[in-house]
Amino acid sequence: MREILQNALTSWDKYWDGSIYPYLLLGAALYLLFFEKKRKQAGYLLGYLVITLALMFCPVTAALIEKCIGGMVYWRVVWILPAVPVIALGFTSLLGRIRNAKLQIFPVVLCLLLVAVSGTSVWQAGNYVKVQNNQKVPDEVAQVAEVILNRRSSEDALTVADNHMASYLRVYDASIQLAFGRDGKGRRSGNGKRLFNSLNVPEPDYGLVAKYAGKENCEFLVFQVPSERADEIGQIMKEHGYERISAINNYNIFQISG
Amino acid sequence: MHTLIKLVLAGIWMVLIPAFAGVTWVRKKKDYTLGECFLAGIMFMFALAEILILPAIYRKMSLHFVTVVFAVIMSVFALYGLWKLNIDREMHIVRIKRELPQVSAWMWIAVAAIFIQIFIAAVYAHMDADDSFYVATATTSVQTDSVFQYNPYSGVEYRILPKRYVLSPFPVLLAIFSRLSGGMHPAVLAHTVYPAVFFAAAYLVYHQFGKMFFPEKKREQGIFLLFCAVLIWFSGFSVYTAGNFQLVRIWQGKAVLASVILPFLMYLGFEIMLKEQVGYSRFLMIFASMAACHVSSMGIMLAPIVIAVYALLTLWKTRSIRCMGYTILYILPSLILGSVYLML
Repeated sequence: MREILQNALTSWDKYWDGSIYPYLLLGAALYLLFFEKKRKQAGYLLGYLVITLALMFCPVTAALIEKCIGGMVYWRVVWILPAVPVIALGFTSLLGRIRNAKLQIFPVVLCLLLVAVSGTSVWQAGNYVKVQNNQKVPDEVAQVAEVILNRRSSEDALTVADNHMASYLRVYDASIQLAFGRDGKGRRSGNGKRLFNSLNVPEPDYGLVAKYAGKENCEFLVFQVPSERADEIGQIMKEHGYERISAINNYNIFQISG
Repeated sequence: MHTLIKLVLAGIWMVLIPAFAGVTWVRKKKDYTLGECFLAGIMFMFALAEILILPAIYRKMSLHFVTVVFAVIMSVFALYGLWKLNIDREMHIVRIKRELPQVSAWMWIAVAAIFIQIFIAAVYAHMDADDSFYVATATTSVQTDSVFQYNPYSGVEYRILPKRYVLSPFPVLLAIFSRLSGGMHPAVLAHTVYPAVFFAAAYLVYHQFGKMFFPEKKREQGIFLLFCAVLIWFSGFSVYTAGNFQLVRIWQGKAVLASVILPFLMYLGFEIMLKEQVGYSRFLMIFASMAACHVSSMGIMLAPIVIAVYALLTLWKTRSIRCMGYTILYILPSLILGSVYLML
């Protein structure tokens, strides 16, 4: 019981991450409760809010919900709270008491600024970048994909790529067949697991990577190469039958020769 | 095919067709709006996709067959809805002529804020590695003309279907739209068109809340929507908020669940469960419940909780057990799919 309640509280903290939005929610709920009793829907909205909060924090119901959705993502239960409509209703009801439209402008702007400074702009949080391709994958992925598509010997040609590259190559073009995808998922054999493990370590043994890739019949290898080791790694790959055909940013593309 | 033509086709299949198809389910309400038609149509479309795609997965049907069946059914409902809309056209023209001049400045500011959000999401990119499953499922379906037969991570044929995702085949709907949009790349559709469509849907839901809380009060409706837009805009303090999910990865099913379907279910709780005179078809509640299941496995679990809470409120309000019958109907999709999920 204690762990379940602890998980619920942790999920709540994780969701709001120290912002004052939950206090805005509390403030709005209290305002509606004490000053907007005549508004029927407000009563039901608050009733809904209270019941869902109870379900979220009551150990019995929380345990049941956790069993259904998983403890790691329990924070998603907060999605069923009507936080946005309650806060918006609270502010609008309060500001609606000012009947004069001109007098209303300044308080509305002030309250909007309060909301803005209480939160963090989704765009400021580093969520968006500009890319040159329409599919909106990282530009280096698009460039690597074009190289593979132009140079592959057949549509079945297998590519090995590190985790970053493997996450987006098939988003760009699903005709690119991978030995494994993100986090090694979708691998085709036990050797594929060894290949994934050998490539996605801080200091790969490139000879081993090339050996496993050859065993997996991979035509292309794509991974980041530190610039100071470019010649050395190129030589190792060459000894195992893979020629470097292109370099895009720090990514080198090797293709089986012959 | 020219990109502009593909965009027009995408607009037709993702906006016009659902809007017309939705007329059937809201027409009971005398003063229904086109926004309500669109929301109802989206729910109907998701519910239909769930019914069509699930058997297609297990019967190993081709994507083009599923697309044709989906397009035919949506077209039939859209044509019927268009016919009904034509009958009601006078009512709509009079209402729009009356209400358009009354739209407050706050509403226009809210609309501008929403357009800015859509512009940013459509023009800029958010990198999310979860696309390696969700969007890649769509690109794989289009590439292989199949439905959940190939692993999107690598392209290898599935030996065992991924039970966590297969009951919520929202990415396959993306593949269907890709085909219906003249072959628009699924990633382009997801990252550029989906934000425009689903941001509009999300804010239409909040607009419905605004109209419900402030009937006839145009200024308050505008202020309410503006606060919703700003609250969502500034919810980037954590990656877990519904607002963050909406603004950065709306093309993923769980984002549509958090930002469109769950709020719409909350709204429908007021309009269908708590109201004595039900304005919408009760089927709309079932469609919304199925839509939640379609977009995310999380919807299979969370939608019935929302509905059950409204059932408790209705029970308290009416002191009548009759509402329980309807409640069971509304959560039936989740009960069935949840049972299947446990059996898999």
